[in-house]
Amino acid sequence: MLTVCIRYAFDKMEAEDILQDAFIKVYKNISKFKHEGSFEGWIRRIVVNTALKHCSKRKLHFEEMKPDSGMDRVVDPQAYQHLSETDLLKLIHGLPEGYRIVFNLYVIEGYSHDEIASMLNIQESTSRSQLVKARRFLQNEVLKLQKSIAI
Amino acid sequence: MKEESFESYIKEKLEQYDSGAPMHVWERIKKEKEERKYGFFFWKRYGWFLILAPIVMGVGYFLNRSFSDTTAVPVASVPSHPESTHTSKQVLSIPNQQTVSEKSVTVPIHEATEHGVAEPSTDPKIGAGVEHIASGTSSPKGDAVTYNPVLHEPKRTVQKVKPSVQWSHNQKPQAERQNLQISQTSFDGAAFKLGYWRHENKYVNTFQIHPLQPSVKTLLPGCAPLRTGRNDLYLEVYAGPDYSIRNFSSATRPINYVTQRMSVENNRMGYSVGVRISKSMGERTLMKTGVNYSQINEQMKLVTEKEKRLTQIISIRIVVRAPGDTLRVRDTSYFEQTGTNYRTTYNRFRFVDVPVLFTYEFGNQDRISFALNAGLVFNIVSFYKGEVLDTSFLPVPITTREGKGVNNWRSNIGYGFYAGLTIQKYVSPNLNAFAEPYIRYNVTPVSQNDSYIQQRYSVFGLQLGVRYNLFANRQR
Repeated sequence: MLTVCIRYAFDKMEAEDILQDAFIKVYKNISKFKHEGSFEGWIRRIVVNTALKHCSKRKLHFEEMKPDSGMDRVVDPQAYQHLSETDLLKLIHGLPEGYRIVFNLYVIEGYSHDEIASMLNIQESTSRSQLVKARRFLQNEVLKLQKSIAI
Repeated sequence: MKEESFESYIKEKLEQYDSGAPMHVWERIKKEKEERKYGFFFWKRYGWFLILAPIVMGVGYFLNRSFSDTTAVPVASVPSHPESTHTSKQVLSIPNQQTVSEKSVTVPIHEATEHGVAEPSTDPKIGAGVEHIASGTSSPKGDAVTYNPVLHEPKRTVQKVKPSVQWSHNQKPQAERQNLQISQTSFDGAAFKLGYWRHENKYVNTFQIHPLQPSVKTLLPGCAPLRTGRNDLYLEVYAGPDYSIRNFSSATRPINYVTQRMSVENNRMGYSVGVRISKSMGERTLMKTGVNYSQINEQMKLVTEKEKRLTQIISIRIVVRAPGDTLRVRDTSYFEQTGTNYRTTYNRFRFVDVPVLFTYEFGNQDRISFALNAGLVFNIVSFYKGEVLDTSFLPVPITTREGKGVNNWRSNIGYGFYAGLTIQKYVSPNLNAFAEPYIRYNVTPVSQNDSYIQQRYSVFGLQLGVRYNLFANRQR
């Protein structure tokens, strides 16, 4: 669960704080768990919600997508298949905060744009645009990595 | 790069990836949890004391004050009217050196420029008047007057004596003592403190009764004893609904077990009935004891999915064959059904207790009055009926046997704390109706010490009943 927190947090210290708060919530609300889903999933939801609460304290800034976004570059799967989990985490952590949170929620946690919009209190279109920008940012970063390795 | 493949690659890599939290994080979590738990634990275990302590202290204070008040009951506070033509019904007279007192009261006298007539109280509650006043010496104009309180035998009747004296501080003390007269009255072992204070530029006489030592009482013939303190004995009968709160605790922290128990067991409204005897201790304080029966109800709804039921079908048929003989054919078949089993059990936790309560009453006894109750409730016997889940989540009956199982319960849960507020409505001179919301905190769990889990109940309830004064006819 610490990895989940790291993906949302500003740094590792904050991630640990999030994890601590989240587990205290888990202990406190353990009686509310209804055995309807997996226990891990329930804890994960608490962790994500706690992380979002922490992020909201920092006043998230979501940038709207610019019209000249350009076309997506084509990246060979071999360019990212060698990346380890740590590398991927670093890449994600390099994203601007708004992008990162939407990307985490949509891609890794599996929330829909509708759900993300309600969770973050933003427009659904904002969520979509943030995802597109995050995606493009990551593609560029992967390509940069590929080039540096080639050199 | 296809977005889906890149994203699915990230999802696949990171969704289940866990680098593991360092130990210090878990230590921090554990520490915070313990702190919170301790805080909650402290409140759960000792919070009741914090609630009860002020109540008990308050009762103790009023009890003490109530006893103290009997030593100084203000009798009258009557302005002195110098132009008065002595119309008071009861006028003090001071027999000169009539009796000897063990006490003496020193009362400051302010400067007097006007005459005042001492008018003792005619309040029926305190016995219709004044009986005697102390003999002693007095000095006018700001000096102190020292009175030796005189003891008298209680007497109901009042001898109204024609007022004959205007008591003036300008007069000589000797003359006062000779001229002042007295009306006999009915205070049991009481003497008066006589004083003056300035009220709206007039001098006011005040009288106070002081109980005196019984050893110096002086008997007066023909004086019936008068009620001096409350001497009531009440019988209370009540019944009402209870709502219980259940707390689990365990050294092993079986979270799954507790969660399962809480998900299948639901609290239901309980009730309590009882009889109490209340004996007055002071004017406003009582002590109560009696027998209380209470029952906590729970419903356990256990749903077992994929429950299999095997049914055996035996069919017998008689076959008549051609030769005319009959053949009895018996076919046996089985079929299995799979479904959901709903099992509902009603658990009953019953307690027989003896409450010992201290009560402080206030308010208007003739209309609506209130009482604070606090004390201990001692359990005499507890008995239970029903089922609980064992550690394998199967229902087992509740018993009171010894052991380490989850279904081992105490037959006596010791003592608990009780606090309540009674609202009483006057019905008749002998009868009051009352409603008493209360809290009861049981110190000891209902389960055995070495049980898998400790289960304790706290009860909030409302007792509705009537109170009958058994001594009413005797007193009035």
